[in-house]
Parts: sequence; C-alpha cells; structure tokens
Amino acid sequence: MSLFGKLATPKLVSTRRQKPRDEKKPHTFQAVVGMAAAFRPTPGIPWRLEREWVVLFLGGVLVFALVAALYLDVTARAAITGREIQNLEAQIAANERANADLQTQIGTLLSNHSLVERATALGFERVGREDLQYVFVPGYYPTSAVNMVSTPPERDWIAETPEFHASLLVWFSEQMQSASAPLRQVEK
Amino acid sequence: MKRQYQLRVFSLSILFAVLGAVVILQMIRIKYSPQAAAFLKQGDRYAGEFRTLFPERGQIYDRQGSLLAGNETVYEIGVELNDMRDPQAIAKSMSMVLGLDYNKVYDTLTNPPDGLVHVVLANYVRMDKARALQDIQAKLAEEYSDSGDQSLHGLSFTPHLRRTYPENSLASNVIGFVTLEGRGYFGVEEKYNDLLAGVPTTVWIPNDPNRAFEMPKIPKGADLVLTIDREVQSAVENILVNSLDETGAESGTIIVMDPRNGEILAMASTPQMNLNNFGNYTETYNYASEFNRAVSQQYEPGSVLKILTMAAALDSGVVAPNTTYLDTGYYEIGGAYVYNWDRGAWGPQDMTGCLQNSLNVCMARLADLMGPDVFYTYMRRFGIGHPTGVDMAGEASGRLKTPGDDDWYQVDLGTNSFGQGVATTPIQMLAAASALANNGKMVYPHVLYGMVSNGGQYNTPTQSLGTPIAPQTARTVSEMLALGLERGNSLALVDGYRIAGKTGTAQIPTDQGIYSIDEINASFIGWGPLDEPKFMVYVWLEKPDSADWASYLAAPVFKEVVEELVVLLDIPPDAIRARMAGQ
Repeated sequence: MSLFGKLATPKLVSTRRQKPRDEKKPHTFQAVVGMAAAFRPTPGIPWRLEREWVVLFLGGVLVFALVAALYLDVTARAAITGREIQNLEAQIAANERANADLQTQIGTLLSNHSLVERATALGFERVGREDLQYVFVPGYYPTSAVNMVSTPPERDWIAETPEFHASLLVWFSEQMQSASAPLRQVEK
Repeated sequence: MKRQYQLRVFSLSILFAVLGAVVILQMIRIKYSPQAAAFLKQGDRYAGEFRTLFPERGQIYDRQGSLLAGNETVYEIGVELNDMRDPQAIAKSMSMVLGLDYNKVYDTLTNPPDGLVHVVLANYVRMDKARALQDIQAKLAEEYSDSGDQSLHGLSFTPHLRRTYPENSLASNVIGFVTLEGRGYFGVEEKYNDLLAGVPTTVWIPNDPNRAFEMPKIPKGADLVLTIDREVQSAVENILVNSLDETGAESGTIIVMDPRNGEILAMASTPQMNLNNFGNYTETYNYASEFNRAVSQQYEPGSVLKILTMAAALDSGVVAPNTTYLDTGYYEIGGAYVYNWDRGAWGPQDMTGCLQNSLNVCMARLADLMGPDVFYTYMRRFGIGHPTGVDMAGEASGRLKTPGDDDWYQVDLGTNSFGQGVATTPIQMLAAASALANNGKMVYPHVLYGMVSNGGQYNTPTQSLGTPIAPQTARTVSEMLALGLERGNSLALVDGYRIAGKTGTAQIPTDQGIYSIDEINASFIGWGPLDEPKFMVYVWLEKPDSADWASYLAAPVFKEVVEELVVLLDIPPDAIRARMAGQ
C-alpha cells in the first residue's frame, strides 16, 4: 500500500483485551483519549516514512503560501498601478484643462483689440498705403501656407545610452524596494 | 469499545462531509441564481458609475494661427448633502461671492427634493469666483477646525470647460456660438459642430483600481483653421461700421474673397454681437437670417448682376465689346417698358458704355437678343437661385424665376437682366462673379482652410463650381469693367491699381408687391489687381439715406477696403509688380 493509501485508511490500533464484566462505563475524558489513540499512526509504518509525509505536507503548505503571497503581491502591484493610472488620468485631464485655459489667456492677450490698444498706447500708428516702400529681394518667396501642426523632431533610432544599465542583482533589489514602497510614495 | 468510537467517528465524518457538500452546493446554487445576478448588478452600481464624457471642443483659429474660439475652465458648484454641516454658512458664502439669493440657497439646502444627495447651486462659475470660494472654504475649515460648525464642508467644485471667444465680437457672424449645452449655432460652430464637438461617449468608470485599464480615451474635437485673416476682418468690420454711420444704412455686409481659390478672407455683417454674451442673441437679431446677411439674406442685387448678363451675351456671341446700339431711353419687352435708371436716352453706346453707364435698356435688349433659354441657362450656370454650398450654417438659396414657373412673365426676362425680380445672396453674387475674375472658372467659396485632427492637418482643396464662360470672355468683361470705372472716374478707383467693378442700386420691393420709392440697396462688386486678381470685394449697404446711388454710397466703401487690403495682403502697386515680374 502506498503512503497516501495508508494515510487515507489509517489502521486503527486494535488492542483488544478482555473487559471485566463488573467494570464501569468509561469516563468522557477517557473516551476522548481513547479516540485520539485510535488515530495514532500504525506502529508498522517506519519513522522515515512518517517524516517524509510531514515534510511533503509542509512543502505543500509552503508552495501554497508562496503562490498566495505571489498572487497577493501581483494584486497589490496591480492595484497600486491602477490607482496610479487613475491619478495620472486625473492629472492629464487637469493639465488639458489648464492648457486650454492658458491658450485662451494667450489668445485674449494677443487678441486684435488688445494689441491695437497696446500699440496705440505705445505710440504706434497704422501704416497707410502711401507709407509703404517696396524692396525687391531676389530669391525671397514669402510662404502663404498655413501649418498648425508642428512636426516632431526626428528621433535617433540608434540609442546613445543602453536600454538596460543594471545588473540582475541591482534590478532585483530595485524591484523589491519598489514593491515594498508605501502607496503614498508610489503616487508621487 | 474502539469499534463503537470508530462508528461514531465515521458517522460524524459522513455528517460533516454531507454538511460541507450541502454548503458548497448551496453556495453554487446561490452564485448562479437569478437573485445573485440581480445582487451583482446592484453591486456594480456602487463599483463605479456611468459617465458621459464630452471631449474638449476643438479650437478655431484664423489663417495666421490666432485663436478665435477656445475653451476655459469653469466650475459647477454643488453641495454633498450628506457631508454638509452648516447650510447657513454655505448660503452666506454663495450669496457673498456669487450673488445668489441667500434665502433661496438656504431653502434648497434645508429642503432638498426627496432622494437627492447632491445639489447643484451654480454652474459655469468662472475660475476667479470659484477660487475665492475655495479660499473661504479653506480658511473657515482651518479657523473652525475644532468645532467645525462654520465650515463649508460639503461644498464641491467640479471643473469643466466652456466655450470662450478671445476676440469677442470679431468675425462673430462667421464663427457663430456654442450654447451652454455644447451645441453650436450659426456660422462655423453650427456647420462643423460634429467635427468640433468630437464624439461624446457614455462609459463605465470603475472605482476599482484593478480595472483602471478600462478607462477609455476620448479624443478631443478637431481644431479648425479658417481662411479668415483676423487683420483683414478687423479692418473690414471697422470700415463697415463707419460706412453705416456715414450713409445712415440700416445694415451692411462686406465680403473679401480670394478669387483664385474661393478662400474668404473676411466677412462682415451687421449687427454683430459679443459671442461671449450669446444669451443676448434674441435682443440683437429679430430673425435668424440677420445673423449673417452675407449668406442668409437674399435681396434683389440690382445692377451688379449686369456683369453676368454682359458676360452671357459676349460668351454666347450675341454681341462683341465694340457692338453699338442706339439707346432711346426705353425698351419694350413682354408688353411692358424698361427704362434707364435716369429715364434718359443715352444715344449711341458700345458695350463698355453700356456697363459704364449701367443702362437697363441695354441689358434688357441683350437678354431679349439671347432669348430666355440662353439667358437663363447662363444664369443657372452662374449659380443664381441656388445655394453655393458655402460652409456656414443658414445659407439662403435666392430665387430665379424661369420660364415655366407660374409667376414668370416675359417682362421678367428684361428686369432680371439688370438684377430686379431676382433674389440672390451676397455670397452667391460673389461666387458667380468669381468666374469673371478667375478666367471663367467659378470657385467654391469657403471659410474652412483646414482641419487639425489626430496630429495631422487636412486642408480644404480648391474646388471649382464650373466654368460658365470662356476665359477670354472673363478677361474681356473684366477689362470692360475696369475701363468703365476709369472713364467714369469712379469713387472706387485706387491709385496705382487697376480695378474691375460695378455698382448696383436696387429698388426694394415692399410687402404690397410694389417697389419702394425712397428705399434702395446699394451694392458694389469689384476685384483686382486686374491682371492678376488676388481679392474680390462685395459691399452691400441696406437702405442708406445719405445718397441715392451706389456710386456715391458703396463705391467709396469698396475703395477703403481695397486700400487696406493692398497693405495687409502685401500687394504692391501694378507698376512695381510689373517691374518685379521683369526682373
């Protein structure tokens, strides 16, 4: 019989002896002791096998605990990251509103009536047709196209600095530190 | 004895196993029961919220990149009733800072409708006011931190964006406005409302940070770049307002367009309104068509339409520029007589003289020579009586009666030839005349230069509305018009620049179906420089009272506009341009 087979069907110890007729019924305490004794391992199982069973059980518990801890860690990290994303989303929305505000403020400051008022206050006058002098500049062609999209600067695809700059141990240490950092610190 | 214990242990094991199985089964049953689904749904309600996200409305720029319509942060100020501690303090602060009625606010806070947990006290509150309230809230909270009875606890500030117009009334007739509900009315705001507004999306916003990835990205509405030049627009608006003062006209319209591509550089129409106070709209305008008369109001244009009649006559080969006729002062057509504007006989005239002196008799004769089929075919080709499709809301179509219509008579052929009995909009006349300024090609008038969306700019391509006349005809008519202005020493002439143009003094029909004897519409249409037109200008003054003829009313306004244009658009005088071209 295998170890687990034995475990599943523990062999009850049978220490039959003749019960005297005049003996009283056993006390409750004695009954519990007797029941516990009934689960005692079979004396036939060697002690090595019994220890192996214990080690295996503890190993199972350890694996379960590790998996649970890992799951907890991943969940906690996901929650922290999620909260961080939510904070960033809120910050992005606030920044977009601030940008819109600033653009409008700039628009107001540079509006036609504001500029005319400021220019007049500074002593400028509108130029008339008769005030203009035309100068011919060879090779000068004023652009008339309107372009509201700023082209992003060309990116150097060959990175100047290496993407990875830490050894495995340093990286592991950083990960441990970031995992154990409090939420407030992460949110910052 | 041991056997008895074994039995008991076995029975207990079975009992607990059965109980465990029953519990597990019951759990499974509950998990998949309809009630569980209902509870889950109910629970979901508190796990987040459905929210309609309105993207930031796209901005509107002029062709130089100046902001014409943007957005600013305003606040919705409300009270979380469960967190509220002192309604009196809240009512008092709202009354002090926002000027709300204390009793009304207090009553709202103390007697809210059943089931309400959040009360909105004010919306669209400007940032400075909201900041003032936030400061008071912070100070009170600090000062009375122990008792807490004076704090503005529960007062909430929800920021959101509102449309704003930095230029106030500049180009208001073109731009239109956006209501508090976020819908565009009139002009570009209405025409491109869908593009500007983006796509509002109702989404589920989870409170659970583990589901943060479900938060959607709502792209903002497209930004629009208009063909309007802010400097030109401002100059034209100033000229228009001054001309109304000088001529006593009830209203006026000026349009400036590039005849090469149909880009509208300026479009002014009175009255104007500060778009930031769009609530006064009904006080400023009686009818929707008054918001932008350039596209929405049709009228009998009068003699400016003669340029189209002459172009049709020349293009169809009925006459040549040097064809002469004897002007006797009247012309009979359809059993009625057509007279010149001064009821005089002008004697022998060539076609240039016909245009220069704006002779109705000549035009009626030309239309009669062409016949209704040819004449109306040309008018249809010029788009008279049809909307141009200009990209602004509320364009009127005008009206061109044609043979076959119940109300068309033979005499209409004569009157239509000089712009009476036909209704057009200023933008329609400008689009039609663009064929003369652009070598026979009519251009599609538009105010949208381009759209900026998803990091790219998409420009409006130049579109043609057809080629109603030959290029040679267009150049000939332009030359005849320029000669006419020069021979007549027109008040529209600008030193150093050859200009083509035509006045139009039109009678105004009354409700009784007859023409008013003391009210006119004065118009002028012109373009230049003649050899290479870069601008077209249309002027319309409605019911001026300082003079009787457009040559004294609208022509000087045209000149003022051109004098500004040549500076703002960097157009050197003809002589300098010729010298530059030779180098």
